[in-house]
Amino acid sequence: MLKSNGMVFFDIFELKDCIFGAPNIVNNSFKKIYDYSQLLSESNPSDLSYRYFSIANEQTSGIRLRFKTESKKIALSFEVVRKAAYERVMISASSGFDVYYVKKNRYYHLTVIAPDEQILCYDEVFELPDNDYVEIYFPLYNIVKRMSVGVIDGCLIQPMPYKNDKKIVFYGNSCTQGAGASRSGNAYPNIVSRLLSIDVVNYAFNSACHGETWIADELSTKGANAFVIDYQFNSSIEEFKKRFESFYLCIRDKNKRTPIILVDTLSQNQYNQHISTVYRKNKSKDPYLFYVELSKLLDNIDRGILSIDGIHISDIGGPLLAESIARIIKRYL
Amino acid sequence: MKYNILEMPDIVYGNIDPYSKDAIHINEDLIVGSGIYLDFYSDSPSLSIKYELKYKPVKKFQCPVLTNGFSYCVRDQNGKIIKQANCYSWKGGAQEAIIDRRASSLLHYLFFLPSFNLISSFIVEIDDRFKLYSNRPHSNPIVTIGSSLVSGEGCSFPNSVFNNILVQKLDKNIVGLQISKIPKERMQQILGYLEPSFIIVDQTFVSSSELEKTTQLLKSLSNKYRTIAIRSGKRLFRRNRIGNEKTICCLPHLDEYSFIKKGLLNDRGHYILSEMITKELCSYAKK
Repeated sequence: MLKSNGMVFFDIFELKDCIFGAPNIVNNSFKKIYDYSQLLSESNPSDLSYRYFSIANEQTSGIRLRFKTESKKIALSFEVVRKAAYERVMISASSGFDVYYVKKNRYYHLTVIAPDEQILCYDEVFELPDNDYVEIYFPLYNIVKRMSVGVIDGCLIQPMPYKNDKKIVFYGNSCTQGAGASRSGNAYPNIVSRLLSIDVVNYAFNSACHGETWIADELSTKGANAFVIDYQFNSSIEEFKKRFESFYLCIRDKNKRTPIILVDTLSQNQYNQHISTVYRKNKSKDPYLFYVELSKLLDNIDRGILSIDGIHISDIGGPLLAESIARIIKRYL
Repeated sequence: MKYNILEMPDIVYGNIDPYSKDAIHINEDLIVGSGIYLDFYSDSPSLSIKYELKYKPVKKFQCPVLTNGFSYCVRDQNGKIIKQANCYSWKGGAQEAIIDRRASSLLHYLFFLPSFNLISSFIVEIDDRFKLYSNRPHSNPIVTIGSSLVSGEGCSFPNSVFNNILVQKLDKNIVGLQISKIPKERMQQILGYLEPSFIIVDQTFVSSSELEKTTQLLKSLSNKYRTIAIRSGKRLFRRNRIGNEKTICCLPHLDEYSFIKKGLLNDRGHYILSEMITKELCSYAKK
């Protein structure tokens, strides 16, 4: 605990009960998957895929801080690891903390606390309106090295758990991680979390999402109440055809009556065809299998405006995808 | 054949004086590059772009593709999109092949240049014996006046800036003027020079000083030009009733997903704004 300018600062690693969406907090760092030594048996540490996985594994997409405080002012002070912007991701999304407050069960967006490119350490103080609790979404594409939350001296920070103990697990690539969103609260898994007031864990591995069976094994033991599988382009089409169905079946095997939602891509391609084939093949015997066809969902919107590169959907499409997923899951909660 | 767009004012739009010798840099009232676009036809089988700009570290509410890249769209003679993409180089320049075909056919090209950055050169290279043809005269553009939104603030790539969406939706020449960057007398001078066919004053998320400035401007413009003012809420609408009420319209309620933060629209917000302006202009045209 540190005191400065009439405010008292709490290191977030002292606030573990306030942190959601972080499956493993190890030695003051976040790890989506704690032990990924199995990946080493398939590749060596110098492989690009291994390096991408190691980085994405520590990026904080999907992590939230939820707390109650009587403080009228909040300070965020943090240090991130990556100083260069990702070419297709806004800094406010890749490195920014997105702040909401909740009043009478309704979420209100307050502000985004983000550094400019090249800046690693940043802090900012903001006023907090009358609220029931605060929810802060972590950066989508950066690793948080240090972060502390400041409140007015004498005020407390208390955990704000979800009213239910349900959880949705997302598995996917850069789209799932939130590449097209303008801020972290707009990443579609985070929107689903707000729409359903539910905990989510975002296992998104940008550039390193290959549908490995050992990851399916790992996810299938998380006690999730729904799974969203948004996995496509990181694999070659050959690898994808080999792995996609077995990834789904592996999760299904240990979660017999849990909704599993398959998400496809924006354009018509072989990946979408294969997802559709797997869905049609299994749907008759699996009533808890669902399919969101992104290309159809966003059919009437100009592709050149919808996405920066034809793959990563922006905030125009993200909320629509989140609403479709939330509608399906809501029926089974 | 190489065409430096600095020497090709016929195909450069969105700036104030396309026939200045220094076509790109004449946009001194805006941050250079913002809102400038190229609009031309070519029958060359191949076309590539070589560009250089000063790589600029991005600010917290920006994306590298917006400030250090460009967007383009290529259509065939039936208006069908053949290619649409965004280019970016962290080195601050590159050569990009846009079209590479065996046969010659007339294609329509639109290039939207980066916002908030300086362009050193932008060269269009086509096969020898073929030409670039300008698409439309520069006269009587639709002018949008407003906050930094007109320069693309909050967008992640040039194609998603509301002015650039309007260029494609309306198929008209659009000029964007950022009110805070242009002194009052200069604004009148510019408008007199441009002879706009329509002026859209965006008062949705302007600062209080910008609101004052745009309100004064509206008063002076509404008798001379066909004008639409866009505002964001009923309170603002009632408090500042001015000119012909029919020319003032309110932006529909924007959901939280449309903002990066208060007053700063993202791609979604820009898209909704462009839809609304298109609707207003269409209904105005029907009257």
